[in-house]
Amino acid sequence: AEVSYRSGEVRALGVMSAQKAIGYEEVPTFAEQGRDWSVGGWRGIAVPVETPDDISDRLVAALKNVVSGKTQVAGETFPEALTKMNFDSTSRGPEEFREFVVSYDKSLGELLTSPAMKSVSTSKLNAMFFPYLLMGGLVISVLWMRAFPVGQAEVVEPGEIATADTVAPTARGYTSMVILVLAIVAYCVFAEMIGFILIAIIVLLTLLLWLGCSPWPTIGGTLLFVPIVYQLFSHGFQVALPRGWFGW
Amino acid sequence: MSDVLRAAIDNVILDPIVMVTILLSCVYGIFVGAIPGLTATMAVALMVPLTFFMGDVQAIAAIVTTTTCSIFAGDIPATLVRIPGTPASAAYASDSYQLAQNGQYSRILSISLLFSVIGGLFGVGVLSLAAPKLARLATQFGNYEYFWLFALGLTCAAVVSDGPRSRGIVALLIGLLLSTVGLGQDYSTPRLTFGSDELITGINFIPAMIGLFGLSEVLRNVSVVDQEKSGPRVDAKREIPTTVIDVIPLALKRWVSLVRSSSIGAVIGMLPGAGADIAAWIAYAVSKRFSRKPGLYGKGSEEGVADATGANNAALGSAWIPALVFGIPGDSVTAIAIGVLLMKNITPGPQIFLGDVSNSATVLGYSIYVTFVVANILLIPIGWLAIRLSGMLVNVPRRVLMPPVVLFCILGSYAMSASYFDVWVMLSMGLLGFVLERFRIPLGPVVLGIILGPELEHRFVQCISNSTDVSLFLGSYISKLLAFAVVLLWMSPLLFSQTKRKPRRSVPNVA
Repeated sequence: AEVSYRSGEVRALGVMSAQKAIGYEEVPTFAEQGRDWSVGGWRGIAVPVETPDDISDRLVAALKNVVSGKTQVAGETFPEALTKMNFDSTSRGPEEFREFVVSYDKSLGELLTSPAMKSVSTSKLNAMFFPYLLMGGLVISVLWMRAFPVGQAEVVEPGEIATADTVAPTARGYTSMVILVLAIVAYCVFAEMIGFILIAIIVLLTLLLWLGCSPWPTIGGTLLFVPIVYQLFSHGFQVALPRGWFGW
Repeated sequence: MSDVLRAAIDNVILDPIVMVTILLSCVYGIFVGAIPGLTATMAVALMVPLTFFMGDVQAIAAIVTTTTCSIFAGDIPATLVRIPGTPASAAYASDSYQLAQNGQYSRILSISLLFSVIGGLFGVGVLSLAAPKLARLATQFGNYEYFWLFALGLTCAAVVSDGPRSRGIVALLIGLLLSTVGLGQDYSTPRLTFGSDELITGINFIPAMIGLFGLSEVLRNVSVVDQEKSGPRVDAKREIPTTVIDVIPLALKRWVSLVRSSSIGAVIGMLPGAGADIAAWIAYAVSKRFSRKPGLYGKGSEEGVADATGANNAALGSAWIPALVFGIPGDSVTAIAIGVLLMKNITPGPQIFLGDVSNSATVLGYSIYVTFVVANILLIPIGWLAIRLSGMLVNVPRRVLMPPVVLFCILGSYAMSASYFDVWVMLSMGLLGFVLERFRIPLGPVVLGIILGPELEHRFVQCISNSTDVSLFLGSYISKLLAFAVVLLWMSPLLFSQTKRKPRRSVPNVA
């Protein structure tokens, strides 16, 4: 957007912060233009409520070091990097952050329920317009679809092979499907409790053995496979897999 | 100008650190692209902390290479187990999967690789030659134009699917309806959430796609696998692995459609908010329209796969056009890339194209082109390796393959937001997909409906809020063109049925 502004294609109407923006001093703030309104983008870090105090204290101390410029990455401190990117910054500790969020929430609430906002928020379309339109369309097209059923005797182009379409599932097949679904449900329910490693082993062993794979290679393979996957996703890709009983 | 090019080549090709970075990013990109649920955006985001320690050229080279390789690699799981690795592969996942089942795994992936590379090179060609001019075109796209563009994308998905038109429409409507769940951009109350907090952000399309395409296929396989004899699949023909070299004749034969689909990709990619996935669908639809064998589309059309995969790679290159010219990201990866550029104190703008050797921004711009070229060329051997390695999984019996696939479906859905709710979404969509396939309703339009529905509605609401004057929908020439294309595609059953008949030969009238 800076490019468009500098080349004159767009006009900057105002800056919503309390002070002027670095590098854009010619743009007046909204306060200067008579509207006392300021809002800015902010980032915060939060942890779950149950986090033990010593952990959150350590986090706060580390963050304070970063924000006050005591640490460096590739030769630059955090405040320096921000200035380089034309961001001005203030930082707030835990108590101030909480007060900030409360007051921010309050002021936005007042704004969104104010008469001024109400006078412009008459949307021309009811929110449920589209869902109802789509549902109506769906009903019509399903009826249309039923009116022209596609028979099984479709033209089979050369090169097409018969797949699960042509073979009807047996009772055991349906049971396999149910077990598969239950396995996924079990994962969702138990993973946090017992950890990824254990639930993944259980799920894999259940499915593989049920589907008829030979026991010993299956067990050996699974015990090898799951920890590798865990390491890859949890540490390689930084996916938050639950540690549970056997994780690391 | 050639001085700058020479400097760029020095920076990229002749710098061993950069080349090693490109090599490692290529492997990384293929890895991430091949695992469903891990997106290129996520891969690039994970790399950003590393870029602090990298030089300018090195950092951008890493990002460019990762995206290029992951878009190709998304075809690998699509072909192996019908789970698109990236949404861009969803358009032709059914085709490549069917072809692999018919014993042509390495052939179809070689085609995908070759056409991806050519499409990618085409995209960077467009980027380097025409970026500023094309950027002007991109600024002409306002709400009305975007509305028609997304309508076109959705139309393509609904229209190309197998079987009677009604089924495609049902699929599309289901997808669009699912996309309305949650707190839309233009409304202040959440819709259809039934009180659930999790649904406020809507149905995340990645778990939906994994479930719809992947889990449903797993369910179908699992339901009949007990009727298979144990041991390697008897029906799986042993394939003599083909390589990219073997499919070069195909590329030469189809060069017209290659140029056509790459152009489609390049044009769509350069529009902010429209990326590789839409490009793939539109190219697929156009390919079917011009094909002599439209009946194969959806059941195993090499042409469809080739054209669509070329388009989505071409879209990657041109996604950098608005990013470099205006600093407006063409897709989510370029958004991250712009952030990285800013951190390196390079601001996007005309100086990236117009400066000379002394201007480091210009040299960086040219280095991006060179990197694209290098990345695409490097993709050939490394992609070949990936194809060979993954090819070993083709003949694994389904009873052994399906459970790990289930685990990866779970992981892929969970990975995005560390949310079990997404796993539930995946499961539900898997069951939905199973039911839909029973009724022969295509899955592609459902996914595209989920992806594009919010955008389509948002643009429409913005258009209507702007003015209730309906004639504005056909205001600019771009709107008229796109609207015409939409109507044309909906009318095309008449045209399609003509191409299915044998071409009439001019035989003298014999009574």
